[in-house]
Amino acid sequence: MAINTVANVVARLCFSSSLFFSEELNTFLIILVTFVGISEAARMGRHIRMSAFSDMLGPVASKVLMIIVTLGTALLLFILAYYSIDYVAGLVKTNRLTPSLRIPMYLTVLIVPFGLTVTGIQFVLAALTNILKPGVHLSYRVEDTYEDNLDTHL
Amino acid sequence: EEWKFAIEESTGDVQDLYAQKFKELVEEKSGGDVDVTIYTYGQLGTENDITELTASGAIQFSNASPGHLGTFVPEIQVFGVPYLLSQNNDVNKDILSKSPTIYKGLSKDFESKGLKLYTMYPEGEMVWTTKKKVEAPKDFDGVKFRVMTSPILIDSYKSFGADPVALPWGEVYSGLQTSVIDAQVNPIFFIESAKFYEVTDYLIYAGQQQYTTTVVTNDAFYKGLSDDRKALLKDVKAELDDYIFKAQADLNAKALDKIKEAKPDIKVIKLDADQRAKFEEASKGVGDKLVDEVGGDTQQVLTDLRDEISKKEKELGEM
Amino acid sequence: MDLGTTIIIVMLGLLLLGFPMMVPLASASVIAFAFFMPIPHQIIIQQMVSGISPVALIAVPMFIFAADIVTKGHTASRLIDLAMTFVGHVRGGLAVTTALGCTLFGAVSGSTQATVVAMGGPLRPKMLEAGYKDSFTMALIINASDIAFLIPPSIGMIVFGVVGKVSIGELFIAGIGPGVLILLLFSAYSVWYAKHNDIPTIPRRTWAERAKAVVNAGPAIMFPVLIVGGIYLGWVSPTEVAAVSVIYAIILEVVIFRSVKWSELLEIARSTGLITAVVFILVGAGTTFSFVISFAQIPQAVIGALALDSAGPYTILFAISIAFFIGCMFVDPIVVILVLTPIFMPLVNNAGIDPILVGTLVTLQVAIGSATPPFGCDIFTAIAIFRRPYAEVIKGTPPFICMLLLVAVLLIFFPQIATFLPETAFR
Ligand code: NA
Ligand code: NA
Repeated sequence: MAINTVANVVARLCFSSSLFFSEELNTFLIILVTFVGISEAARMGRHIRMSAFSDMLGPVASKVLMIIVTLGTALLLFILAYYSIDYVAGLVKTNRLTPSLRIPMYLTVLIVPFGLTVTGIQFVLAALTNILKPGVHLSYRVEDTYEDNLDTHL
Repeated sequence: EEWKFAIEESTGDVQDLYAQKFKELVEEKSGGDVDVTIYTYGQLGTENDITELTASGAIQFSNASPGHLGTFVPEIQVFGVPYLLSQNNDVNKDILSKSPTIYKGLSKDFESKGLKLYTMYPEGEMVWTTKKKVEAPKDFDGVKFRVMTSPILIDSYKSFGADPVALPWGEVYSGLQTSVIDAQVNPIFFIESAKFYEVTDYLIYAGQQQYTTTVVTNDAFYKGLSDDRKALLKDVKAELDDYIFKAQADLNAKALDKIKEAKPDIKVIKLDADQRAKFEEASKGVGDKLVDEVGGDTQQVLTDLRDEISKKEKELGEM
Repeated sequence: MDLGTTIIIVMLGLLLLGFPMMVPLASASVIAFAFFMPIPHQIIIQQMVSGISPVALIAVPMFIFAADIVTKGHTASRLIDLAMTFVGHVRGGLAVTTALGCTLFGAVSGSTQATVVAMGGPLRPKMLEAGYKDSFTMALIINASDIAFLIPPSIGMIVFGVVGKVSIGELFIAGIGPGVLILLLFSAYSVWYAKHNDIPTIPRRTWAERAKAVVNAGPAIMFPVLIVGGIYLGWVSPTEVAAVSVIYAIILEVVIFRSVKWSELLEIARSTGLITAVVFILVGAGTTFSFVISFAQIPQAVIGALALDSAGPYTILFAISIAFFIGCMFVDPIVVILVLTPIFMPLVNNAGIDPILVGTLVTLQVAIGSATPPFGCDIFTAIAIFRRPYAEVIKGTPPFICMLLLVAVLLIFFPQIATFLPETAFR
């Protein structure tokens, strides 16, 4: 993304012209990053939530709540995935092309149903982990705690 | 019964004037059976979104301008070809409101996307705002010209001799202010409301293009209407053809006055026929390039429109 | 039950139960489409995708990436060390530096989220080291980043100017007064906080030592120069400066300082992608939510019910403040401006209120709303970046929000704070 935009700046300053597809390419990359990223975030237990209420509960109650939350989230994601298949199908049907690159528009959003489904599966796995293993789990690999260090990276 | 009408512009702009009058006429002629709800720019998403909303039947009417509509009906991009339309705006009014090439020829292409073309009208001449005087293609040398991301516009401004630049519209004002770009193009009413004149020095009328817009409706919705309603829509369109033509001219004239009042030292330049001819000559290949890239019926549409326009010009005069 | 009541109950319920934030936002839309609005459900996805597509948004991940690189490497700490040699002996000096840094960076980047990331990433660890509480630190970063909206160039003001038909140039200048006032208030609070909590200071440095620190900072000093200069000299647009800073960060840290390995860049990129996704999915869900609200014409209904069309100027200004503030607690500021401005502008014009004042007030309110729970997007960004629980991130915000609201009230009663500068310059 950065390379693409910088290429645009360099092209404009040095060669006095612009890479017009950079806008479309960037939009495509953002969609890609977002919908791949949400499943990764689910796997790492990084989705933002307000935990004030569940933090007050005892271990059993918060485990039950976590199972409800993960299954409910998975359900919503599967519903959205189903909607997104309709959305992509609609774009395929009308066969529209992007203005600059002239590629079929549905290609740019093909990742959406895929990302939503995989994220849904991650939440199902999280629910199963809570059912099968002791403790409260945000995902199948992360327990519900925040590590206490100053590292701002993953 | 509620008809939802989404426009691409804000309150008080040309498309809003059209939609408001449409609402008034439809509600009056239907004896209050139909309520029209207007959504202005951004309330239901981007320009692209509202056309999709119309195609899917979520709303009944929307404005769609050639740049965005081009992804639905590529042939409509011919209205971006420089100097296609006449310098005589009465000719343009007649063509845009009645042309068989547009209303009959393209209707299949609209239908295949779930749309029906309701009307087409001009919003005013596309005016350049620049930091330096431009009267011939050579004056564009090294001028970074912001255009919308549409291949036909990019080709046009390259052929005029400028360096086309893509910039999201939210950055155009500050782009002009800091000289990331040197010029941009829009109808005068939009230049006034987006205040681009505050950060440029020249307003240049080069006659290359009218900003045209279409109103589309959902095809299935239209086909499902009773004959009464269809007749009503036809009447309303006829009345609005005259109304909007005058309303946009007034709005643009008022906007120019406002600009002159707010910035008395702004220089307004109208290119004469000789000067225009130079730009027209320079951009001669743009139409062919569009035909090459888009294909489909583009060649036919372009030829037919040119015929219609020159016939009408013989009838009404060229200027 | 009507649409508005239903979705508010559902959203609050799901939120309190601890569902990921995207669930309450997206569920509201799913329910609205399924039971209240007879239109195709794929529009939910259309709006979600279109919400994350605007070109201006791409600056955010790029700033996240650049900030991650300079934090991992040497640039950020060299710059902060440099600042400390000048202000380290003052009580609260580091906090004031943070506030100033956020204001300056926000001024050019124009994005509050990018500012939270770029300034908060490197400055938060330093503030914690110096003894500031984390809740204070995070709240300061989040709220000081808000000033970004008020100092030109401001995308919020540009959008308001176009939709509300107001001079953008005058708006830009009008924002400076309140922006500086907020910065002063935050600085004063920071100094008071440092005194009250006995945050230690470092001994005052001599000018010779300061000069040495400038030399030490070396090419790192070019970083802010490049960003601020690049914008104001017209080399690059605000979106492009994000890309330039990524490249400069890589050159600096990987090539010159050799403090970050090429292989680590990949890991940083992965982390950037994850943070971007976590924040952007909420921007997308928020856009869908706002579509539902405006499609159902809920704001119009509320304004009608309140009989605002016959209200006086002060009532209208307070109503505007509250509406924009609440709106931005839920969805992206730009979307809020687009949806609400056309509804309020006729009232403003009828009541004869100065539209420049309204524009400044709206910009201030969207900035405050972005940093306010439950859905303020700066809060999401801070949670994603700092990896602290929701409750802790918002714990320190009340004093800041009170100061911001105080400025809003002052602005309503003393519009000169905003209109003084443009009146001198333009009228
Ligand atoms: Na700014
Ligand atoms: Na927000």
